[in-house]
Amino acid sequence: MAAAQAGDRAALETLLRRHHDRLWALCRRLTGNHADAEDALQDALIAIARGIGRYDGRAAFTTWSYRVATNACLDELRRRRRRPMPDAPGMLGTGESPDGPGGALSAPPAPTAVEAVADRVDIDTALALLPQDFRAAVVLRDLCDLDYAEIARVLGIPVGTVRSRIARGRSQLADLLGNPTDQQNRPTTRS
Amino acid sequence: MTAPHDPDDLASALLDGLLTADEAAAARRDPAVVARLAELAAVREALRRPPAGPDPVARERGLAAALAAFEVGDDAAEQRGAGASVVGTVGDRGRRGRADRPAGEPTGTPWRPRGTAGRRWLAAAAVVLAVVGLGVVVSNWNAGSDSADTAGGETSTRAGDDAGGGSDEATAEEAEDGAAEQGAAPTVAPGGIVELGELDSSEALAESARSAVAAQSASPLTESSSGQDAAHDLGAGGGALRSRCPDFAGAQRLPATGETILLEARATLHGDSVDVWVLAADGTQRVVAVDGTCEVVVDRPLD
Repeated sequence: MAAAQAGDRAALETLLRRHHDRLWALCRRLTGNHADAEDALQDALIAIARGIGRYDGRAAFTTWSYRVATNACLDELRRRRRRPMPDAPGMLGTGESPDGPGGALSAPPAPTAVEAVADRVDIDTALALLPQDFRAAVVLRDLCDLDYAEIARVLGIPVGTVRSRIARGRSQLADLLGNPTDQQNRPTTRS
Repeated sequence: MTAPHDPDDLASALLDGLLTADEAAAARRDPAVVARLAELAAVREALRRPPAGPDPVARERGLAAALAAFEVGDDAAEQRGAGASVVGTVGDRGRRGRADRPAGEPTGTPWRPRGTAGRRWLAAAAVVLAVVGLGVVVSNWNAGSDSADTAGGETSTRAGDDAGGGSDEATAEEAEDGAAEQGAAPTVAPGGIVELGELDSSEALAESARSAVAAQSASPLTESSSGQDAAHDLGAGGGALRSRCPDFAGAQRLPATGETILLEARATLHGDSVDVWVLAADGTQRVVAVDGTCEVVVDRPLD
């Protein structure tokens, strides 16, 4: 780290390669398709390379790099919203790969699309159906293993909000993924 | 922590080990919580399965672009000296590697932007167009497409570039990119965030921001916004700036006490996405841009 901050290109390359796969996983899960994930990750790597000298060590490098990558992904999602996209409800019925041409999961679907999901869907489809703020919180927790305080710092929200978003996001994901115990058959809470 | 009551919240807290021993024991006696816990654990396992890796060429291209940016940044920083107001540097633009890579250029090598001569002139022309056309752009936004309206004028500047196979997405993206390369007339995104487009200097950024402020001068956005509301809209752009950079000293100056936010915008400066604010106090205005690492890269007065 110190060598990279001092301008050592080889040290930076080692650092970026070491963290590449986990940043890729974050971007892939947040953006929902390969093409946008590649763009977002490349933006993130460039931002890290340019900002490494300003990294002050107050947060772990992992947390800092997650923040940079998360911001890059959110930027990419904003750009994506400004591009014409296929209709989400139609896409859901096609079984098209999320990595397919055009980024099948590009547009956040309307609530009616969520309700239309009757069968088991894959994790990318389920994530795409989550509100963006829920998705980021859940991915940072369950994929990246950040604790609630770190997620709060990355997303700039209170810890209580993080807890709420994670709980709600996980719950929605569980329902969307069609776990064996669905809402109606689930045991009821004792009063 | 105080144990939540909802089974979903309890199960989530239990999964993350947030409950005390007594709370956890009580939660585990509730069959609804236990069932939900198993489901949430399954969700976590699904999320943790590694996704398919990136294309190896794209991986190497991304790393090479980052390393090139690192080197270019060092060189440019030395040339600028300590007094420069722009910290960002001209370098590779990662996402251009896909759509803008000139035909025939081998993949796996860092993409370098074409010369920027004339962009400043184009940016100035775009500023004039922006003042006249902002209202039209706003109305067109509602139609759900900003690319079709801007694609028509970009053909000549993109002559000789790789057309990218002609898919709908590639066409739309290139239209967007092409518009940016012409100086990018500001457009308004959802939430009132103005898009200033791609700019190659702090001067051009200031000019574009000044123009956008003039176009919407009748309605300042907010005074000393806390940023809290924006924290709930991760996708809103500039409004999320303070919330996403809460512990960076540079961002904490935004806005300073007594300053009014005249404009929230986004731009691409030297290839980096930046959040832009125009702030006013005591009859003076300044433009501030913050990059993806929460660093203030531009902070200069607006004349």
